[in-house]
Amino acid sequence: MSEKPKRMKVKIPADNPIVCYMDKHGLRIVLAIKNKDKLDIMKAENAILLRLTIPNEHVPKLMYLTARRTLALFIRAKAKPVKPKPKEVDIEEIFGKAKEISTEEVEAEDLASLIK
Amino acid sequence: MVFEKYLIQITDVRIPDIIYATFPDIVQNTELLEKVVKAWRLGSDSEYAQLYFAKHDVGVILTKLTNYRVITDKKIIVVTLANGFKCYIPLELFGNVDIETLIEYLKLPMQITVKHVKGVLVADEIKLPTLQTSEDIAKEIVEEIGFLNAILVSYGILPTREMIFLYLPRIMLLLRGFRTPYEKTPYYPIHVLQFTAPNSGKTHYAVRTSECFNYEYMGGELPSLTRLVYDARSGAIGSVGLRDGVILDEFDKKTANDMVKLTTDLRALLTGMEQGIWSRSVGSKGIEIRKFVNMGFFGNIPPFLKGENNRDKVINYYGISGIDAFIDRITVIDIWTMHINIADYLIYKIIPNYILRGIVSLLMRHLKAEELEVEIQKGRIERHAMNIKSVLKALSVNISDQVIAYIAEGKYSFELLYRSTPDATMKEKVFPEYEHLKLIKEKVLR
Repeated sequence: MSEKPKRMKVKIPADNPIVCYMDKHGLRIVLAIKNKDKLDIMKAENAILLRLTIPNEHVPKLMYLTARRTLALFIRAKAKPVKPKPKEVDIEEIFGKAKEISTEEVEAEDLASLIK
Repeated sequence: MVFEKYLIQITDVRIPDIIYATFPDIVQNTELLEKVVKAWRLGSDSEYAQLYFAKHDVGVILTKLTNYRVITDKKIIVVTLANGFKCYIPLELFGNVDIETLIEYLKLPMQITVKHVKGVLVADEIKLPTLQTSEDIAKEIVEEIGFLNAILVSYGILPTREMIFLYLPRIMLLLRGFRTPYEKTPYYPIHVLQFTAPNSGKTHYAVRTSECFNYEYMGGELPSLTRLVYDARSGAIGSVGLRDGVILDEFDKKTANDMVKLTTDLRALLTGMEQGIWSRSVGSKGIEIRKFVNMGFFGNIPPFLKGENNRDKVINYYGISGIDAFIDRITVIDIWTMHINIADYLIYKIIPNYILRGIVSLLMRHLKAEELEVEIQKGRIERHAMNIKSVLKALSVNISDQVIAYIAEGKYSFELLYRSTPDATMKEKVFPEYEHLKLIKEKVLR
């Protein structure tokens, strides 16, 4: 805590859904803004979704800032785990690798033709 | 007897009877049967598939696609198989066919030779069945023992009085109905909810139906709209897009999670069941599937049901907003309190799928919109009663219009009908084809 971080004012209406989660980059806050007029956080004009990443090294400090209570509340009361998007498979790679595999191991009898 | 010729004896009870029904020609060929069972397990049993692909790079699977999406620029279909694996299928494997045919192909059970690469499967070869529907054989069997007996025997059930009334609502689920009495061809979905005591063969029926017809069986937890309609994350089309019917088992289970899910999903279910419009909008993505799909809801009878009639009982049981509109859309709400041990009625013989499909398709052609000649509540209930009467008439079950009206309104159940129809009057008054029971018993219980 050598350098004093800037104070950050966070005042968010209660009906705005907020998702907080931690990942390797730090604390991420995703805020869906329902009513922009009520919102008093940064300049989120024309934004419908605000994404905020607080780098790891700042997280412990932030907890002691003005926003700490709000953040703690987010985490305790509103935070829910966000499922990461399924990783897209590299199609070229898997088809490339599949080509190297021989199908000799299996006898491909036509079982489908037996389905009645 | 004709039907006797097509009966298949289940010789190994460890093999599910759907294998016997789907592969009737190889039941005597144990070597081939073993290969089929292995490929079928690999396609549907996730534990078996995971262990198999941990040891092998290549496999042959028999499966049905549960949902799919198309990577348009790569011309690849990504499907989630019943065994839980993702499978990448190049479109070229289906041959150069038009879109309509391709859509039909994707509904079929299929044999896929797959390679296991980095935790996913890559299709190398696809073999499709030429699904037959034998109406000729079906006609011979129906002329001999009638529709209802033929369907029950096909499912491996002895058509006794109990089974006839227990299975009537279930059989309705296989058929389509009418929206108005002026329509000639049945197309409108029939939805059925049946709660019975455990061990009455609901799951057995649902599984066989899903293998024989283009239906999806969803046991266990209540499916999400993601699985049912559309997955916005992966872009995959769900069951209602692929199937003609969906059967949800264990619908009586009421965990807090299920109730939240049901409350939020009801809106989509309501328009889907009534108008055939299944829509989802997640974030900025929206999708709409327009299709009529029969919905079946099966469950064990809950310990406490309060209400004046079956419809009220189920509404009170769930007690969530919008449930009354949902129940209103269901053609038959059937509640059986009597304990029935299905094992007492199993004949361990079945009629293959292609004949069962023939019987049902023949039955569909016999359906005619039949209006009730008694006073009945207007609206959906009137339509439900018309569809119940149409089906019962096609099955040669004679029940008075007043009783049909009560069944549609939920004031009367098929169990009460069973209790109020003694064996002696069954043949004369309710079901003339009941006379075949003795003969069927002789032939199947040998």
